[in-house]
Amino acid sequence: MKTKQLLLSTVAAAFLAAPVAGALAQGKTGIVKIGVNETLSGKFVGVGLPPTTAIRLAVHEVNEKGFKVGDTTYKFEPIILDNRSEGSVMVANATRLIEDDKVKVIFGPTLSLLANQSQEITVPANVINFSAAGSWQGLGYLKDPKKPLLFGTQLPLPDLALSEVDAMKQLGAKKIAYMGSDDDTTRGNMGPFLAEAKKQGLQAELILFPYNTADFSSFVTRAKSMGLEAVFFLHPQVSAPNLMRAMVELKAFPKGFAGRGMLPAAALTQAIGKPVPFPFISVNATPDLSYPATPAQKAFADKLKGTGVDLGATINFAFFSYDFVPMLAAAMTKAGTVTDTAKIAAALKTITYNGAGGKVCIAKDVQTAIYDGAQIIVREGKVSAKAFPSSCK
Amino acid sequence: MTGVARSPLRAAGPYGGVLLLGLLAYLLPQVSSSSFVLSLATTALIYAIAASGLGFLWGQSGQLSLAHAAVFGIGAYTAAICAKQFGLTFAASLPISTGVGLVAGALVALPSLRTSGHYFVILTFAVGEVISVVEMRWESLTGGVNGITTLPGAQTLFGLRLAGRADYYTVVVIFAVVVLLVLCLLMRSRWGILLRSMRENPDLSTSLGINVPINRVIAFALSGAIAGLAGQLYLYHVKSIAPEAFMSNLSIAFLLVVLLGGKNHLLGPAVGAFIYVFLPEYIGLSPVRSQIAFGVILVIMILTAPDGALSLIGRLRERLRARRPEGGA
Amino acid sequence: MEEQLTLFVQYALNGIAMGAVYAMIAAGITLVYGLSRIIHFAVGELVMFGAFIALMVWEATGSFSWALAAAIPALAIIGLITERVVFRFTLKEPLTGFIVSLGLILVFQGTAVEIWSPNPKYSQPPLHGSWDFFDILVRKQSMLNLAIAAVVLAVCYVVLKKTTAGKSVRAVSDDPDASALMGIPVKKVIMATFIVGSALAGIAGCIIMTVGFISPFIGAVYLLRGFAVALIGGLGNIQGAAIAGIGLGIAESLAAGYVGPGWTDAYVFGTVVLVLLWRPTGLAGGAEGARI
Repeated sequence: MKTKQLLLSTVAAAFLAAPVAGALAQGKTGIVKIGVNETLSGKFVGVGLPPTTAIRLAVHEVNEKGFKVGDTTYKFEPIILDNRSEGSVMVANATRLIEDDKVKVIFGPTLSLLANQSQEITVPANVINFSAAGSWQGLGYLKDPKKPLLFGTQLPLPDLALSEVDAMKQLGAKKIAYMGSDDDTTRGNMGPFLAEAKKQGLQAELILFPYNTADFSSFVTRAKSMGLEAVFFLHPQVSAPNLMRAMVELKAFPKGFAGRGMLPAAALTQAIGKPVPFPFISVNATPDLSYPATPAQKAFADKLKGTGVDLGATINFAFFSYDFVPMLAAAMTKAGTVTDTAKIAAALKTITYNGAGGKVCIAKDVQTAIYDGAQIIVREGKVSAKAFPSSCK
Repeated sequence: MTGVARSPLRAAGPYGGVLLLGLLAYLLPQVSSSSFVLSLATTALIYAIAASGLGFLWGQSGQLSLAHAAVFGIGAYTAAICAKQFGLTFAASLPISTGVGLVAGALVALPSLRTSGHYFVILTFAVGEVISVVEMRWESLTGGVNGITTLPGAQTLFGLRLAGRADYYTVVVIFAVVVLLVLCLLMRSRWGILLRSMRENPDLSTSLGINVPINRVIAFALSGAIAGLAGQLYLYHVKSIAPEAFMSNLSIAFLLVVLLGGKNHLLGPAVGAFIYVFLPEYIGLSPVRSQIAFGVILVIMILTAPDGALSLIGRLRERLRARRPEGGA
Repeated sequence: MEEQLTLFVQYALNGIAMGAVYAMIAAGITLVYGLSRIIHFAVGELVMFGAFIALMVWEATGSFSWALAAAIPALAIIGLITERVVFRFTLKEPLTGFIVSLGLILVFQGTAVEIWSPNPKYSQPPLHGSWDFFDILVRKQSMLNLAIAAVVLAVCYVVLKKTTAGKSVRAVSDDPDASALMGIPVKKVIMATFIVGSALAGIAGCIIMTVGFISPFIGAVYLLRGFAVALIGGLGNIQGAAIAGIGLGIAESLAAGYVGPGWTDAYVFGTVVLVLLWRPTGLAGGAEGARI
């Protein structure tokens, strides 16, 4: 552990050392430790890598100038721990961050089943915990007044459902399939979509498949036999081209494909080597970094690529933490404290931060983040984007 | 470790070993003030308990189970359901989770009456997979993929607070010592000798009038009970469980733990558990490279010391003994 | 009624290609087990390596034949290395070999993450489109995959049954000690099965690359399926593996079509349990279980 910490603090030191000469010539300085408890090895390393990479970037950027709390200029020192995708190690890491390192803020884990365990430790310890875990919304934790320090970093599910059902209406379908891998992510997300679809008069059938499904033939055949006209595909993103290829070859879902956070390249080139013959809509839970809509998003995408870390199709997950680091700094400045988590959390809820995700703020009824959304539409090989700016003031 | 000890001093050996291990474990919080170390040590001891049950089964009766993590999971789920649906305390649900583990262990053993050897190993693997699917799909009981959360609240056991990190660690130490002492007693009992003779020569044992199948099932039930108990301890350690945690990779981890320490030594699984849990934290490479290095170290350890780390001590002792007369001459 | 029949045939057809992949993995498992008695649990990771190597070559050259041609020797070499460096030391104690293979899983997964990143990768197949036979749609790539698997399995079968090399493999499988006395180089034969078994995993990986996404963590799925098929077919029995593999593929496909996939794994492994209880050495009868 010592050596690991050494390694990680070297990384932190490299970020800290660079800007010392700059703006901090006068005044008191201080360090705020923030914990990162992510899946950096083992089965779910792909989930933990993008948020961690983004936090490293964001901390580096915040530290260039530091942030003022009272008359002291602070910098963040990230303590990045790998939980090996294992619950017991996640528990040990969270315990260590809180009790040994005395951090007041922890980012992650992003993976739902670990995030559920994490909040059992962070809530009683009065530590602020950020996570994109869908289960926090699904299980009602983010509406629980007893858990005021939990912050979700994904859009509120009902907001997403609105945009997603809107996409299905654009496809002109009445009978649709909602497809997703049979896991906590899908089960946490499908409720609001199905409710909204029903409200808007769509007939939606649920088709779940095992996460590792390679061949979608029979799922698609089944949808075809049920007379379903279009599909909404939740995840995993990487299976989207497979599914669309099966749609073309088995002549299913004639009215088209919509999905959450799908790469337009899937429809343009990947599925069948040329644009698919039906319309494709990607509804983005996080701003799309393959088609960045604003200069800020473009800059962020370039910076991520500059890190040399291959984030693949999950690159959008980087938004699960990037803007929340400077936002946290702003909240600490506003609250006038780096330790009183209740005050920091209260300040966080009042801030609107202008970040890579557009205007970012915390929703009123459910304690999760709001930022820009978008629909990326591919019709006959032409890509167009429709923005859904955040409702933050 | 096998056979009857020769002198009273050696006879006290294994019991003394267990007590020494218990004392060392008990003193750990005094030596290291790190909550991280304490939390990992709690995990290691829980794994040690579960793996000791597996080690007993494997070392004494020669049966190997890949459903051990599933039975461990059943113990954890039983305790969680007891707490959630029936509001039972830790102490009240302990006999239930242990008992359910016992029954589950015996059920896993039943196929061993028909099939044997490697087929049986794979069969236990298949049983484990079926159990994890049931945990995932029987949502009304298990909470499905999201699992169940159990909080100890203000409960105490032996005057120790279950919610307190150091207190709970002490509770786990006590259970570990008790379980190891019981296993020690059994290994040295007539039944232990009978199991080993069954392992060495089942046909001869049968012709001597020993009911081999029944004794096998009993050994399995015992290891299941220990796994069930460890499962409950795990639940109250991590507080929230989901089916993902008890899939085949945990069974694989238990096997590695047993083999790392040594299946023929009472304390082997305990030593193996500490190696398994702590070693990756001290490799000091990037996370993914640490994982690779850990795998390589495991392979090398198993190849060089197939009887476990503890057998190295025995080998060392023999080498020293062999050298001593030379030095004297 | 006719519609229902068409649908049923369509589902069954959908499942055959994946079934052939399972059969091929199982054939590798069966060969390695039959001779060395080692339960080789890192086979899923070998499939994953085969898939990634095939993907690299396929993207670099644009030729599927080259991808297949590269994956086979690459995996054969990996098989040779694992046998020389690790498994040959565990032949006397097959159970140790099994445990060692568990350690290898960590090594293989980590190495794949280091080389190819943890992110799942997708690739286009060489063949697109489908044929339409009386409203039954046959995907071209699936048929190519089926053809590859059938040829590979047929070659394995013929080599085992008709050639001298195959006969010595069977002899070693039946009785290693007697084979050694008769002058069969037992250790070399075992080494050869590790090479062939790994190469089979490589071909399976190459096919999987054309069907679905691949990632460093797909191994477990194919390991589970491969072992289930090998056991149901009877360890050491290639025809058994072929039949059981196709059967599993079709069963999965029917489950996806009619009942939803949630309990599929329970059915698959429940079947394994029942089959082993009914016929303790597999349906088609395989090698005797060694005592451990």
